[in-house]
Amino acid sequence: MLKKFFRKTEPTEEEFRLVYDMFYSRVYRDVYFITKDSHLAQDALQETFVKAYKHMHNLDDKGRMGAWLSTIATRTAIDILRKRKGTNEFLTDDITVQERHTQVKDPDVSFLVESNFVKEEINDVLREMKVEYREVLLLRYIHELTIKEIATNLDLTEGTVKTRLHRARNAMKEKVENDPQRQWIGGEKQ
Amino acid sequence: MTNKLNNWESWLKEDYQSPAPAHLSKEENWREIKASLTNTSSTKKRLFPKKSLLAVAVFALIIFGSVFASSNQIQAFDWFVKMFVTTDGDTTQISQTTTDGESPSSSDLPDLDKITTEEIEVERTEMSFDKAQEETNFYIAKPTFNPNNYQLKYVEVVSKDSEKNQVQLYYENGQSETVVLTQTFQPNDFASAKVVDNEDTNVKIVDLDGGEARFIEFKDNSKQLIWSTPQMNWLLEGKLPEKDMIKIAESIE
Repeated sequence: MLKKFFRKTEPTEEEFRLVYDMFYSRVYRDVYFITKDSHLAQDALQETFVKAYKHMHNLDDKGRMGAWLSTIATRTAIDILRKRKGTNEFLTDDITVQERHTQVKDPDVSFLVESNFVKEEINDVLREMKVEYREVLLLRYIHELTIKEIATNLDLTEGTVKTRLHRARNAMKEKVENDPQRQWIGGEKQ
Repeated sequence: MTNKLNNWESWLKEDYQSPAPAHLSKEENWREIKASLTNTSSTKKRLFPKKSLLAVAVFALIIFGSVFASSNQIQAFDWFVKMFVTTDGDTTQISQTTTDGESPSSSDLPDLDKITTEEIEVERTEMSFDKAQEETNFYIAKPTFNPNNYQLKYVEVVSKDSEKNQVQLYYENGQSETVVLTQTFQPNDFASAKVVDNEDTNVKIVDLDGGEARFIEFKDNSKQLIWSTPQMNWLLEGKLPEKDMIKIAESIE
C-alpha cells in the first residue's frame, strides 16, 4: 500500500497522516524504549515524524518505512535524552524500582509475583545500559533488522554494530547473573 | 535457571510492548507535528497542498441508521471515517461512513424509489500470507503483539465482483482458540452498518491508540473490535480479554 502512495516525491497531508496512523504506536514504543521516560518519549515522537516528513522523499524502498522510521526514532530519542538528561541520569519515572526489589528476597515468594516484576526488572536493566546498546537491541531483537540494515541506517560499520550487540547481550546477561536481587529471574549465584 | 536466562529476549519484547502511556493523545501529537511543519519556513509553501482523497467524491449514502429513533454521533479517530452508534429499543446499530457530514437524520434518507439491489459475487480463496500480499493492491498489516502464542494458520482473500479488497488473517493456538483479523481496503467513499441485539451484546467505546474503536462483547464471550484508519476498515475477532484485544490492535503494523 505504501508503495502505491508514494509515487510523488513529497507526501500529501493524507499520505503523511496514513503513515502517522500506521506507525504511531511503533514510533512511540521505540522512543519510549530508548528514553524510558514518557515526557521525553513524546517529544521524540513528534520530532521523529517531523524529520520523517522532511526526508521521506529520500526513502527509496517504501516497503522499509517501518525500519526507516525506527532508526530515526532511536537516533532522535538518544539526542533528546542527551540534551535533556544526560545518559547516566536516572529519570523521574524510576525512583521506586529499588524499593520494589528489596521487598522480595525469598526466591519462592518472588516466583509467585514474577509476572508483576519482570517488566520492572527488565526496565531497570535496560535503563542502566548505554543507550547505544539499547538502540541495537531494539533494532535487532524487536524489529529484527539485519546487522547490515542496522549499520546502513545508523551509518555505522557492521563491525561496530556487532560489537555493540555483543556488549548489549553481555550487559543484559551480566546484570541478571551478577545482581543477587535479580537471581530469581534467571541469574546465577557467584 | 538457564531457561529463564534465555527468556530475556521475550521479556525484552514484553517490555517494548508495554510503554507508559503518552501524556498527549494521538490527535494532540498530530496537531503538534502539523504545527511544527507549518512553522518551518522552508517547507511552508509545499506543506500539505491538497486534500485529495475525499474532496471530489460523491456518493449516495444509504444510511439505514436514520430510521432509528435516537442517534448518538461519535466521531472516529480522525477526520476520515465517522462512526455512528444508534440505539433503538432492543437493537444497536454501528455505522461507518466517510462523509464529513453530521449524524444521520431523516432528511438524509435517499429516495427509496432510486434504491436498487445488486447481487455481488463473493469468492474466498485461502492462501499464504506472501501470496495474499501478491494478490492484493494494498499493504496487509500484521499484529506484533501475540499474547497466547497464536500462529498464523492461513490468509483468506475475499474477492467481491473480482475486486480483492478484503483479507482475513486466521490465527490459532495449541488450544484451538482463534483470533481473526479482517482488513478491508476502502479506497473510495463507503457506508457500512452492523446491527446487534442489546440483550445479547454489550457495545462500548474504547480508546485505541489515542483514538476510538467500538468494542462488542457477545453472550458467548466472543468479542469484536471495530475501527477505521484512512482507506482501511479493521475488525478483530476473538475470545481474548478486552485488554489483549486492544493491545493486539495497537500493535498492528
